[in-house]
Amino acid sequence: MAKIFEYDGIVIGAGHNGMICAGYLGKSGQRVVVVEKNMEVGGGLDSHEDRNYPGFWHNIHSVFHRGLLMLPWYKDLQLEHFGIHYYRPDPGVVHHFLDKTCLGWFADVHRTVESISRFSQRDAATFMELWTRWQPVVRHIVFPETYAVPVPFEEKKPLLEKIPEGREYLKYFETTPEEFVLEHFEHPRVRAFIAFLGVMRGYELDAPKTGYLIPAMIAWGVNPQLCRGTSHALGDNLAHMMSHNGVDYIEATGVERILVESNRATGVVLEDGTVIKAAKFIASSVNPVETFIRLVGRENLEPEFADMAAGFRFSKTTPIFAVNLALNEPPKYITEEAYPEVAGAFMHIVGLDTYDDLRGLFEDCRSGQLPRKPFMNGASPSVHDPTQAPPGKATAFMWQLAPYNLWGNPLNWDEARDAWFQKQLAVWQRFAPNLDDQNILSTDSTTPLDIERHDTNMRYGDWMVGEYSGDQALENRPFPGWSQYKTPIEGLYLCGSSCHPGGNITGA
Amino acid sequence: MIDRAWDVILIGAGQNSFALGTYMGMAGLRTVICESRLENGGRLATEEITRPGYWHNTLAYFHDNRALSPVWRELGWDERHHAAFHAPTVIRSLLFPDGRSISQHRSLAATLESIARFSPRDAEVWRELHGRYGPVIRDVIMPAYYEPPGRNGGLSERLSAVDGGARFERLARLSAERAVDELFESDAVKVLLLSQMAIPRGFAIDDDGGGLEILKMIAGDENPELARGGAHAIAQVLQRAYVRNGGQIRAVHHVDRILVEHGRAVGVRLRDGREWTARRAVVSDVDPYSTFITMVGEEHLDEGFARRVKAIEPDEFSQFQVHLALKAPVRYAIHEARDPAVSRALSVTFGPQTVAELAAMWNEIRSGEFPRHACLHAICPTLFDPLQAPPNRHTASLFLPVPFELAGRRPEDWIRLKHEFMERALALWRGFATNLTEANIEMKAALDPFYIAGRWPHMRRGSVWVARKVPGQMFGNRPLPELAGYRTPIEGLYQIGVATHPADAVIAGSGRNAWRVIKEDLHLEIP
Repeated sequence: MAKIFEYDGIVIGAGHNGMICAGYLGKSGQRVVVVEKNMEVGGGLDSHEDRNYPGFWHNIHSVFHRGLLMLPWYKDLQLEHFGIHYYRPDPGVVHHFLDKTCLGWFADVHRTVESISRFSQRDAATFMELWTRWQPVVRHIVFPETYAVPVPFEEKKPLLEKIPEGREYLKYFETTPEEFVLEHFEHPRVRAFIAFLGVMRGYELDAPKTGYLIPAMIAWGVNPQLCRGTSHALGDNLAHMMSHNGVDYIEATGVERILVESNRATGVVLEDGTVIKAAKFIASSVNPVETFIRLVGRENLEPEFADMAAGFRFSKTTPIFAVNLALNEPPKYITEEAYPEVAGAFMHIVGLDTYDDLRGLFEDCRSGQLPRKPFMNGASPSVHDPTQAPPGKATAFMWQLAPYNLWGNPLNWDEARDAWFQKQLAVWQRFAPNLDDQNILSTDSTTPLDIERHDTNMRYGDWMVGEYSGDQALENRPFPGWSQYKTPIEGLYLCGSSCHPGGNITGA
Repeated sequence: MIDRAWDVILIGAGQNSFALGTYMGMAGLRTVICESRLENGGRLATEEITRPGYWHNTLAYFHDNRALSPVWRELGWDERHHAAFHAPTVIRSLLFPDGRSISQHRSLAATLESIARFSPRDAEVWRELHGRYGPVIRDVIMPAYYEPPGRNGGLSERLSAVDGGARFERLARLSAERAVDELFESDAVKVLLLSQMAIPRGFAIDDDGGGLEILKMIAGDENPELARGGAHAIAQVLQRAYVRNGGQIRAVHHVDRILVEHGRAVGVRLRDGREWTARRAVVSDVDPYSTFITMVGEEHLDEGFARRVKAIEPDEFSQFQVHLALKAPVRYAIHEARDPAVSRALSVTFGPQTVAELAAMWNEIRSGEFPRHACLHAICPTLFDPLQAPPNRHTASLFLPVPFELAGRRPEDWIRLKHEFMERALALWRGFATNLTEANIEMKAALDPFYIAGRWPHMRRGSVWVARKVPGQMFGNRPLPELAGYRTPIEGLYQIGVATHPADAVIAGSGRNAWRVIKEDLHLEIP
């Protein structure tokens, strides 16, 4: 006998966006249930214990959270009440080179500029100038836009042209990140540093209408922060927040289909046959292909819209191959001798020398080849939050952007895993020679295919859940004309990373 | 500092903390649970330890007696929080190498039919025991689990007051081995029962008091169920009920010390140095050694008490586990052909054929040997709940009792040895399962005693039951007479958890029982 439940609304998917959406609705008095197909809530906020040595926790694909405490939902939903705490290591980023020099991104812009000036006085001056000029643009346009329903370009253009910040924003709106970086910076290492930081959050080098993200990043700051007790703690705390606001949730049971009657979404059927009726709304935080093609079904959609949903593009350049280590002591980098501040840095970049390395990697990802030259970003979370490892021990990881469709078939990753792991580790060891057999207690890896296996919403291992480029960005995300979180089905809304403003822990 | 002061601080996010914390929340107390791990629920753990998308239960894999539990009812741990269960019709099958098998079904008639194939006399004895002692278990034993030991008189007194109670008590006090010897003639029936003593029930076959477990297996109508999605789903339900009633949880918060002033527990110190105040009580759901020796500190304890806490005996055995991600579900084609019940069994046991072989296993475990006469328990949860693996894929797990320390080895040597033992266990499994080919196995992983002890630090020496289940450590003696009522020598400090009565024989028993004690101590006027 299938069980039947009745609610005002249903949220599909307990990623951070789904939970935040449900939290707001619950707080406003709606009776809401969230349905999650995985056992754990949190979506990308996924952490697991080392498989050989207990007490070491690895964060699978979300570590560098950016400025979370200032985000609107963090305050609105009173998340500090649930025990969330963030560490803000400084410098946020250090980019190491084999000649024992490095670039750093600090909380104090003057220290960042000083670090750039060791390579290029001109780039340092440009950085400072962009930082100053873009402060008001970020404050008045980019930040508010992230947390607002996107406005079509034709409507916002005349408004933007009236103010200086708006004209500055428009100046770079049509460019790509690549064009912006090559035009403004001259030193190959500085170009690589800024461009890599700009795109590693799930953006494309050559995507039109995203070039403005680079000066926005410079002014806003990279400022990565670490969630105390692993990234999954944020997922757990969001679940507690939901319960606190009267929201129910169901774990370990996905949605089989969305019930549609006379073009209105009226409920869902779960994989185990349970039926949930929604009197008012259904909000789906899963990607449009899943939502429309699998759950709603073509029979309930106009053919043009169905084709558009089916054609939603996933990124080929966001999947990562992760190396996770359980260690006796944290990595000690070769640059530490000359630059002692490196020891307290959060994100470390190794193996990236020039802008061309980055372009080569994007080519490899798109053509399904192993990266010709490994370079990675990673961290040692236990240095900043000792609770993530047993007393006196350490955890560390490195991420390589890598193709999902390796040699044309993602299953090739199961074969290629061990050899690639060794290659990535070998590069890392050149920058942190203490990562030797004595130090490494246990190793673990996650392939782009594993990302999708864990979370089928991250189709093709794309944790951005949809390529972020001009025709899938801002008011065109997920589709031109459908960026208002509404859909052609009455009562059905989208609320996930496939919508504006995209992936990452923005919670918008 | 939002977190500085609470009414009650609970240490360890196990089922008992959730139950107790929820009762406290309903009574208006402001509570927090500090959990050293990232995941809540203690042994209610389900994890992707082979390949992402495949969920494996890494300790508890089924749950008894939900219908008889007052906690489920009182705390609304039901459909209100979306708990859902699968109830296999065959509870367990014991396989023999010659293709025969014996099964315990949910249906008594089907069980008797399976037993009668080995011994019509034993089937008759089983039927009689079920009829006679079912009411004793329901009306005397289960209620005794859900109250502090010694309340309403001793168990003996109450047993003597019911029909057949005296014989029940005599059988219950025997070892499992002596009880089955007295009751049954067939080795198949005896092994069906005795093979379940270590895993899942926590008894050696020669431990006095195991007779009660035999009677519960026969007459208790325990109705084991699988939680939808895996055991951890139950932890999620408990967590929701707790938070909904105002409770707070802090994961990855290690309590280093319980702060004691003038003989009273007043708060805790966390590993990162923060100190939190508990205005009304501190409750520990971790093991007594950690509670008193590590967290309170011997300087606050009577010397004799500290000595007795250190002398609490752990289990004589730990667990070795093998987890598989599979293309096709585990099949036992030869056995299934003779009795299709095997294909529907929640758990399948194989290895021992005679009581003597089980006795040999215990000798091997006690001498620190990976048992040659291993007793293996296999489950394939996706037969009942396909959601625990990707579409058209399956999971299976194997559990066997092993010593915590192998003779001449250190516990951490398990890390190096586990792959070899995993292959050995798989070879034994393949002696019965007919499709565990390398082509069918997508990925495999082993969990060893050292890992279990490190991951659940209160299971010292990999001891799942924390305090060994022997008469000197059960009921009013669990784990020590002075701790059996959940109060401790430190005022305002309470001990709950698997080391206390009723030893997780029922879900959240000590959490509910301790609430009755604490409610009195705090003078709370609520039902």
